[in-house]
Amino acid sequence: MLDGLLVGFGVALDPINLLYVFVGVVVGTAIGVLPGLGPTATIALLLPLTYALDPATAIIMLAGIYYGSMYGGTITSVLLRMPGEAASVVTTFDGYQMAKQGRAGPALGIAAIGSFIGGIVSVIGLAIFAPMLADWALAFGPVAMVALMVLGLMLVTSLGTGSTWKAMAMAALGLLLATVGQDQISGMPRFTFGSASMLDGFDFVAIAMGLFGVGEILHNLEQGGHLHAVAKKVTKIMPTRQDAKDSAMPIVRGSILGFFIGVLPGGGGVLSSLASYALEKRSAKDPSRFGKGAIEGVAGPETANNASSTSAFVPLLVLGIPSNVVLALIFGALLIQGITPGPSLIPQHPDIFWGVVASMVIGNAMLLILNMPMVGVFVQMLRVPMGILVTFAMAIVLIGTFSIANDPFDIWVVLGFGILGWLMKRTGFDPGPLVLAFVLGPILEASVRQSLLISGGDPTIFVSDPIAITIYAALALGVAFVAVRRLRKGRPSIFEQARRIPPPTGLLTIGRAKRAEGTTDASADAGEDADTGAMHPGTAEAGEPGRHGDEATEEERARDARRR
Amino acid sequence: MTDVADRTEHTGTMTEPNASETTTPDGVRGRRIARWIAVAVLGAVSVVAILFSIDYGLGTGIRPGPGLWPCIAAIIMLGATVVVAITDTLEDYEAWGTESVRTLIALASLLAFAALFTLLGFTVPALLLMLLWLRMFGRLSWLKAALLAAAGAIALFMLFDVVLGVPMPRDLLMTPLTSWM
Repeated sequence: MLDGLLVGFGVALDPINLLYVFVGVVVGTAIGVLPGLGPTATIALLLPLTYALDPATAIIMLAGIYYGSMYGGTITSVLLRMPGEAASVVTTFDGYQMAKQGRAGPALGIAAIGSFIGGIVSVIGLAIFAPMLADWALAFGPVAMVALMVLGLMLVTSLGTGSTWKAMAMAALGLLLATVGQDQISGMPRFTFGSASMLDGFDFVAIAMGLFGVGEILHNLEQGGHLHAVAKKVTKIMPTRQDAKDSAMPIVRGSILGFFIGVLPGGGGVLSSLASYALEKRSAKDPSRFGKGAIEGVAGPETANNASSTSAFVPLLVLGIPSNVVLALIFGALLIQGITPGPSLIPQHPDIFWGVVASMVIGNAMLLILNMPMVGVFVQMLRVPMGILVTFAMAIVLIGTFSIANDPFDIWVVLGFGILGWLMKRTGFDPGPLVLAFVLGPILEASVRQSLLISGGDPTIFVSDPIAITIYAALALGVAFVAVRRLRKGRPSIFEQARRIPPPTGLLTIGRAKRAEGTTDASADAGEDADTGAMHPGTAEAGEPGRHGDEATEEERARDARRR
Repeated sequence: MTDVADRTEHTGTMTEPNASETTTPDGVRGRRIARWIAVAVLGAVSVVAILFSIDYGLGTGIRPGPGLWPCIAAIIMLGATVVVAITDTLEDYEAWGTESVRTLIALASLLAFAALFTLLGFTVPALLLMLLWLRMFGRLSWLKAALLAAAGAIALFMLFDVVLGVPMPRDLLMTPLTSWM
């Protein structure tokens, strides 16, 4: 491992890579602050730029955007009760209350410190566990890979936002779209309708840019997008001695919890911050303070979401399974570079793995500096009117799309998927599972057909492998558990709650929050969630026993993941 | 937070028209139409895909054919769509209103860009597009919008053409300029 780290720092300290990790974390913080462009949309927009970069440099920058956005999302959550990205929704509960009490500074300070510690703990975990897991995963055959990918897709569809069945329909559509073009094995053209441009299939970047970039922009246009004028000055960033004492344990717990939840497919981000909030509330001496500006309610979840965004790289770099949409995009970026992430990535491309690990240490240190003394600069960015931002984002999409293959046809593809993405937003279909399935589709199909060829067409081969059996058994248990819970009509579990949080579209969140503030609309959204969290701490308390059960399942799942 | 989720869970089990009317008095009709269209489109796509897959050949037991995998995916999609049609509440669907007109104008301008791009190159269509968007969505004055649009279009062209070395199509504005340089 030490050798690896040495290689890694050698890569990460290369001036070019230092520059790109800096660009990544600055852009990440910026888009985390700006509601409307989440990490998903931004990474989708920047994918064409990564063609010109080395693989390690590209991933270093994209990873920087992802964990940078986790820091940046906090700022608006605390100051304006507008989560810049979904994982920060939880921070609005106590962070905004702290800001109202004039303690915005310590809230932001402790969030930055917690995020830094969580990030570093998670990087250490990544450096220790990933190579061990990869050694073991090298022995996985096509049957085990099929089981893993099925598990990944199932978890992403069931843990994502919105309806599970809608997510499943979208995942299936993604698998179907992945089959467009020439069949890998027989060479037969499928769903090309005679068009030569379609023979190579849809370009992943075009789909991602269309669904996330254009779709999001079009949908944002409808939300109006007039931000409040921000004139709040943030002072006294450094937490007091008492703040530090109160936050120490939440940060420790948040780091560990976040790491293990992040390793789960579908686990990065929202789920980890919700779980940490629930855990902190349960272990607090006086839970009634939560929702009224308890610093633990900021420190824990902020630590956990950054820890999870780092550990989410474990399944990607070790198994080749992206655990959420952002990582699916990073997966795509690696594929573009001709590298298929999987168990052989660490031995074959040590510079990429260790370079990314080392860059995360550097990036987190940069973020600590960016978010402590310079937080005011990012706050000022909120003054940029949404219309200008959206216009420039659109222009970048259009020229970036052309640069994918220097083919104007791709612009039409992107606009087509953009319209689809916009309509999906309007009808509550999450594009995440579609993109994830599209990425996994070709690998999954190849593994399924390989397995069937090995067995001579006998489908029982899919349950002939001990690893596969374990995975399917865990899946069946999970499904049974959810079904039983549903029948007993217990309190909604933490997974359910995570599902109610709208996808990371800042403006959508604002639009909904505004609507919720204006009316007594019963739709579950961020605004209402924050309201109920803040104003009726009693109701949330009543859910305590239910939460207890959920915590256990998460630990079980985390243990499962470790065993694997 | 918990009670909100409870309420929404509840609406799922009630008879659907009442449920939607109590929770969302506005635009129920539009939402219902949106849902049926979504379900119909998804259903149609999956049925067509199944038919095509069978045509491509599902293969025999020993040799899985090229149509087997798309057929499995399409069947899962059809199944999930049927469940969505039966169980989905109207909560996720947004009603169509006057604000959609702006989006449709934006869309039309994007399609116009795509059509003009091959003829005029990047900068001129991009300038026009950005001018329209900055004026309409950014609410800038015409002068400010025009200056910003021109600066943005030229800067982006320079970034991609000169810095990143992307071979841009012949540009009405920039090709004469850069070739002269």
